[in-house]
Amino acid sequence: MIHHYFKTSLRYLIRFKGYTLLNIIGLALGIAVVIIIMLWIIDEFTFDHYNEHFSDIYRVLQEEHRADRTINSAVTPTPLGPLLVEKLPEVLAFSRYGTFVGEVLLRQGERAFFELRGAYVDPDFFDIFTLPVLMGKKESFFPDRFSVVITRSMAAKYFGSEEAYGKIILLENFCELTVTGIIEDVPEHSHLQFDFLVPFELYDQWGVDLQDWANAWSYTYLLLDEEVDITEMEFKINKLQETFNPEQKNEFYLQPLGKIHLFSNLYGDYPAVLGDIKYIYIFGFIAFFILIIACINFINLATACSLKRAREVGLRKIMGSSRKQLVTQFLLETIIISCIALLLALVLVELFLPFFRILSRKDLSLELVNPYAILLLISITLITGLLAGSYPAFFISGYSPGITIKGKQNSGKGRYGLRRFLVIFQFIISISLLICTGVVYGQLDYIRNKDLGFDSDYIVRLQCRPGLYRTYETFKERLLKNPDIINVTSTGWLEQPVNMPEEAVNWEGKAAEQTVSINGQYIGFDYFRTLNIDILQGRTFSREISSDVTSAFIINESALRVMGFASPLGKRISLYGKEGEIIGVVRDYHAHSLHQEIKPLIITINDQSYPVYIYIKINPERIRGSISFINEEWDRIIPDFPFEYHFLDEMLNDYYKNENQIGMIFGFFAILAIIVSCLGLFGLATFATESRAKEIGMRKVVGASVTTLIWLLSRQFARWTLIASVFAWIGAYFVMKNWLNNFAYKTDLDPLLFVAATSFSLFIALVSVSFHTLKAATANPVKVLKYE
Amino acid sequence: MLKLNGIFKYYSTKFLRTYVLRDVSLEIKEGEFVTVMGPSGAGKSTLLYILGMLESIDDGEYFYRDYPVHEFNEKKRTDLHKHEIGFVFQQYHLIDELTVYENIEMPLLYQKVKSTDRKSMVCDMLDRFNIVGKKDLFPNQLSGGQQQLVGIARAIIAKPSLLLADEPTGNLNSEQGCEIMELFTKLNKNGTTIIQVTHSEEKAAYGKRIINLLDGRIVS
Repeated sequence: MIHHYFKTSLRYLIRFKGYTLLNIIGLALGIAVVIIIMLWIIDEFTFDHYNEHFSDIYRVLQEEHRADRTINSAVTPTPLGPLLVEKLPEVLAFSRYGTFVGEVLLRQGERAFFELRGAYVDPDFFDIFTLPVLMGKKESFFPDRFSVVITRSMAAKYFGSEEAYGKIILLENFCELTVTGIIEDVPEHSHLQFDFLVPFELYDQWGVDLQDWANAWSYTYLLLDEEVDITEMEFKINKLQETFNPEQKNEFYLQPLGKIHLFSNLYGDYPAVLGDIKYIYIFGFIAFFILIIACINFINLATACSLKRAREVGLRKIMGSSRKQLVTQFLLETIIISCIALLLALVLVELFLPFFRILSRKDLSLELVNPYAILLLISITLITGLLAGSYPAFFISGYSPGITIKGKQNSGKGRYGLRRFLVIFQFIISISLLICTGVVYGQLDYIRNKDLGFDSDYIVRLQCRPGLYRTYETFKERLLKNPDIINVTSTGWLEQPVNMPEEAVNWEGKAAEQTVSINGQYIGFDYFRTLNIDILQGRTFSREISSDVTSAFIINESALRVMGFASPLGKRISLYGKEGEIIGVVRDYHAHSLHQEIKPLIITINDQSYPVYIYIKINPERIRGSISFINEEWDRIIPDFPFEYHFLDEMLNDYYKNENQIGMIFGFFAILAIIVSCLGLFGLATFATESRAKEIGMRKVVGASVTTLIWLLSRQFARWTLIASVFAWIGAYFVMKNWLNNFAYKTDLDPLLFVAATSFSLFIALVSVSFHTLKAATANPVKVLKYE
Repeated sequence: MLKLNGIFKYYSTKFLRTYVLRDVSLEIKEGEFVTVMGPSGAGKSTLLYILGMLESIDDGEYFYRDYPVHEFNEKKRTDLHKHEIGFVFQQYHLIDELTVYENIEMPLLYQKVKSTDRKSMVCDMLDRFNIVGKKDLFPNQLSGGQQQLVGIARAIIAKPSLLLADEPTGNLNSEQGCEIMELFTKLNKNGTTIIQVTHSEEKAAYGKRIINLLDGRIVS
């Protein structure tokens, strides 16, 4: 019997190639999207799972209570780790993890590269995290502070085919590190990404006091006993702090390793390495919706086709088929289709993946699929088949054979209603996705074109190196001799303003109870001129006035508002122990990304450290010449360091790379959703015109023109699109309103965008139905009428 | 063999109830060859489908060999009719996706006949109707007369006691039509009860009894 069903189904599918193809392509697209998103989600959820001790690794976090807010940070004081392992037996091992600031130069003979991915760790790091060792013993990785452990690719990069073990690598051209171990490359699914590791003690070399509780810029990882109770642990840690660091009011707590990648968004976290659970939900929903769209198509097309099958069903009933047998037959048919769709989907996934890899910046592949995923996939396919097949199966098998055999169908209102509902639902999803894509792009465009209050164009950014720290002024002078170099300035380690603790800021007439969050920024001379920031009152810092280095401040408009000075110039102010007076007020500028509001800002000359980042404004018409000139001057002063530069505006764009990515992914899925919906519409149009063939024939006989007929047939699709638009508008409005709240500065939701999404869908809908309506409207009416 | 008592059949719309059959009573004995005649819309086909248990009745009683069909649900009716009744249609109604062989075989599949038995029964039929050479063709590769032969072969393969024919010759030319009617006569002689619907006086003459329907009532 099954054999018989198979045969009939296959022959039927082949006979109606068009429908079959539409069905399969639509469903395959839906399944392909689900697979791609599933791969992405699997990838996101398997972060750090490679660690053997996965469930026993924790990161210490701290909660810092400031006057007007609480800061949760991922970085903790350096003395904490050693203290915990010493005092608490449940702590089996600890390791701190501190990154280098900016890029560092590593050199081995002629091979010298700037490296970003390096870290300072404690010896137990290799016991906590699972890192296969290729050379050396992990117990003796760090015999002294001048050691370095490198990854396999790093070894290949610096030593080629030569043996790297035991050789010397030069750090920043002066510090010799011995390669004491080689490990396998860090898995991509690790929230920590590094190419080389040096002992945490190496910080001593730079004069850092690791016993100082104020040094909180590294992570602290703990390996805990399996049995341990986390709440109790946290209590003990805080208790310890009371004894050893009584002044601090911070509270520590523990974060399991599994929560770091997707659920962490703390001060000091690397956003680049971290995922966001929010996007997992969003894309999970999108996958679900696109699959639903595809299923809806399937149901719609199958019910439409059922008219062709009605006679067969009636006949089979007359031949003695039970309803159950008919249902089985139809379900089998849809399952065959969905299985073929699954195969095609796998092919589509392979086709889409290279593109999606670029979009998601992940090395996704079908190999990620594990047995659970395969099971899930097969269930999705079967459920889709059953779901899509069940409606037509039960529906058609319920036909009364006496009626269907005569070639008439009972076109009940309910069926039509359901189909209309399904199509409208599809369009709600597609139009919403379109609007969302539009809003994301609109916001990105707004960001790109927003006046930041400063001019980041044609500014070359360099990072200072040893040898240039002291000679920066000479370097600057020599650069400025070239007329194409318009201005040069510098910043300290911190390029951007940082939030200042409450007690670090004070000004004349500040009320004791006034608590505001104030930012501070340390800059070099000519900063405002180079970045073209307007001075509203007073003057900028001057090299000629010696007190400008030691006791002068400039504030921005927001700070002026907060401080409430009528005439700010000359007012006394203090920042972290530096006292002086206000010499100028600048226009507010966006020193951070547009996610954040402009804060009150106090700016002073960087008198605490060497210049670290150098900004050079160059002549827009002589970019290449200017850069090679800068390069020559660089080589003249520090030839040992390769010349490397960035453009400031490109770096600023990096703030929005998540949004850029989301925009592209949204667009990708919106297009897919529209394609799938249109496939469905195309099929439905066939159905609609066929079922109205007689009506069309009669209208033609009594003199209807082709245009009126096309309008007659398209009208309902147009109406459906419009109804769907209303819902999509409302849905997209709320979702995007919410999304835009991520930005302190945002574009308005443009009503035109909503109209455009609807018009586009309307256009696409009418184009996809026009093929059939045209055919029906121009057909010879005699044929239809005679047949009927 | 079967007996109808005061059958009513109607279709209802919101405002209107249209009667197709009104108070039809009728008895047919084993081995009869009955012709139902009447103008278009008289309810002939509906009567035939009711007799064939494909349509339910709205009022009245229908006994088939003492089974109270009017009390049966769909499943029970199907079980009864698939062993007892064969159908022949004016439009042949073969399944386009199945070959001649498979079309004839289909009722046996639903009656769960074993594969070897099925094979010999179908071959028997093909032989008897002289269409062995056509067994692998699809319906649209056959002439109308040939298609109707296949339709009849399919209707009688399970050896039904009652054969219902809805204008079996309506789409055939006169020569093919006569052939089919000869075949019916032969089947009837071998014991099959036949009820046919027709417009043609000539075809009606093959039957032994004529029932005339007008506006849903039996007039003679």
